Amino acid sequence: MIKYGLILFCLFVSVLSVSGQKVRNNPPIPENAPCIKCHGQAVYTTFSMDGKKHLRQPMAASRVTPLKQFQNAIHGSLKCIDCHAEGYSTVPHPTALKFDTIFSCADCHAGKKKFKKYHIDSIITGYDKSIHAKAMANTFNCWKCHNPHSFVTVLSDSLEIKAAITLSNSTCLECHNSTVNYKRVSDKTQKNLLKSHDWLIHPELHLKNIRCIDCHTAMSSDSITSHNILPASKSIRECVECHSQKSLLTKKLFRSRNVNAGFLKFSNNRVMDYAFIMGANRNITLNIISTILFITVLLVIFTHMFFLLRYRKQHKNGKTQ
Amino acid sequence: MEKLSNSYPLWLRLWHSVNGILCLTLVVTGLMMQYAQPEKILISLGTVIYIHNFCGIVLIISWIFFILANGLTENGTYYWPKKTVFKESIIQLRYYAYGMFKGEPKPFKEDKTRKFNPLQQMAYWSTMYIFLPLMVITGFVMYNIERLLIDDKSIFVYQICDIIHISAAFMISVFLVIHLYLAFIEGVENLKKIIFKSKTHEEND
Repeated sequence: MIKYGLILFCLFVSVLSVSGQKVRNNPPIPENAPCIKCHGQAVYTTFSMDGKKHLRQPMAASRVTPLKQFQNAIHGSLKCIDCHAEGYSTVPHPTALKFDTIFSCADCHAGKKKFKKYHIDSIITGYDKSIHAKAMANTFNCWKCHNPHSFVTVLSDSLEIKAAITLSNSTCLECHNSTVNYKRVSDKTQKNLLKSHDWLIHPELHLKNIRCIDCHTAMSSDSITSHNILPASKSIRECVECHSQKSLLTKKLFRSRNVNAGFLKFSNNRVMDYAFIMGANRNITLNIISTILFITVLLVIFTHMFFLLRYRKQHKNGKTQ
Repeated sequence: MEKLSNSYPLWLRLWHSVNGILCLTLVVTGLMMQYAQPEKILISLGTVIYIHNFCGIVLIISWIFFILANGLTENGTYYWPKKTVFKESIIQLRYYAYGMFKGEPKPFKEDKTRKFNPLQQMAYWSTMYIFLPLMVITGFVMYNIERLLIDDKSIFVYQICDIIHISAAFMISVFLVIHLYLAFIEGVENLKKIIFKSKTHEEND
C-alpha cells in the first residue's frame, strides 16, 4: 500500500514538475468552508425556509472553484472575504453585490517591494495601453485572463517550450476560442482563428507552435510578459520580423533558452531543439563554404573572360593586319 | 560524321526557357528568403515565399515533363555520360583552359551520337538527375511541412531537408553561372539556337 502511495506521489510530483508549476497545497481555511460548500462544485443545494424542501441547481461555471484548485492557487492562503465583501455571507447573495467594484491586481500588488519580482507596475502600464483595456474598458479586467481562484504564477521561461506555449495560449483561447466567453466581454462576433490567420503561409503550424503574444504584443523590456496586447491591425504581419537573423522570437519565446551548439554551427541555434525557422536558422559553416566557393567560381570566370577577350582582340587585330 | 538534325526541337526550347526562368526566380527568391532582413524589404517576405512556392510547384511539373519527354524522344540519350566521361572531361577542360587560347579546334563535336561535350554532359546530367530531384523532393517536404511533420523528431528531418535543399540550390546556382558564361562565350548564334529557332545545326569550329 505504502509502495503504491509512494509511486503515485512520485508521479504527481513529476507531472507537476514537468509542467513547471509549484505545488502549493495551502491548508484549507475554515472561514472559507461555507463558500466552498456551494462554490466548490458544479451543483449546489438550496433549502426552503422550513428546511423541508431542497433544490439541486447547477452553479454557473465561472463561479465554481474546486477546493483543491484554490489550495494550489497563489491566492489559496487568503480568506474569501479578504477580497469579497462581507455581504456575501448572506445566502442567496444580494444581487446588488454583483455590481460592486472588484479588486484588480494593482489594488494589492502595485508599488510594493514584496511583489517587485512580478513587475506589476510594468504589467499595469502595458495593460492600460492594450486593446483589451481600450476597447473593453467596462467589461475587461485582470481576472478575465487570470482567474484569481486558480491562478498560479508560472514563469514561462522555466517551462518546457511546448508547455509554455500551451499554457500561454490557453489563456487567450479561453475567450478567443469560445463564443460564450467572448460575448461576456465584447459585442463583436468572435472570429474563426484559422480563417483570421489564413494569410500566413502555414497558419496551423504557427498557431500550434508559437504563443499568441509573440505576434500580438508590443515588445516589453522590463516586464516578465508584455501585457500590451495589440489590435490585429497593429500586430506583427511581416514574416521577416521572425524569419530573419534578428528574429523577434529570440527576444520573446526563446529569450531565455539555452544555446545548443549542434554538430554544425547554426545561427539562432537556441531555437533548434524545438523548431527550425527559415531565415533565422542559417548554417554558418555552409554559408562560409558556399560564399568562398561562389567567389572562387566568379574569379575563375572573370579571369577566363579576361584572357579570352584579350585573345579574341589579338586574334581580330592579327586578322585585320 | 553524320550531323545532328533538329537538335533543339520546339518542346525542348520551350522547356529550356521555362526551366531557366523558374530556376533563376527560385535562386533569387531563395536567397531573399535565406538572407531576409527586416530593414531591407523590397518585396514582403510573404510575397517572396508565395512566388518561391509557386515557381517550385511549376518546376516540379516542368521536371516531370522533361523526364517524360526525354524518355519518349532520343533527346534523353544525349545526357547519359559514357564510361570515358572523366577522361574526356579532362580533354575538354584542357581545351577551355589552354586550347581555346591557342586556336585549337573543339575536341568534341556534335554529331548523331553526341550533342554535348563531356563536361556539359556531366553538368546537365548531375543537375537534372541529382541536384534538381534533391531540391524538388526536399522543397516538397518543406512546402507540405504541416501535413508531413507529425512529431518533434520530424524537426530534425526538416533541418536535414533544408540543408540538402540549400546545398542542391547552391550547386544549381553555380551551374547556372557557368552555364550562362559558356553560353556567352559560344556567341549570340548559340543563344538564338536554343531560344528562338530550330535548324539543322552546323558545326561551329
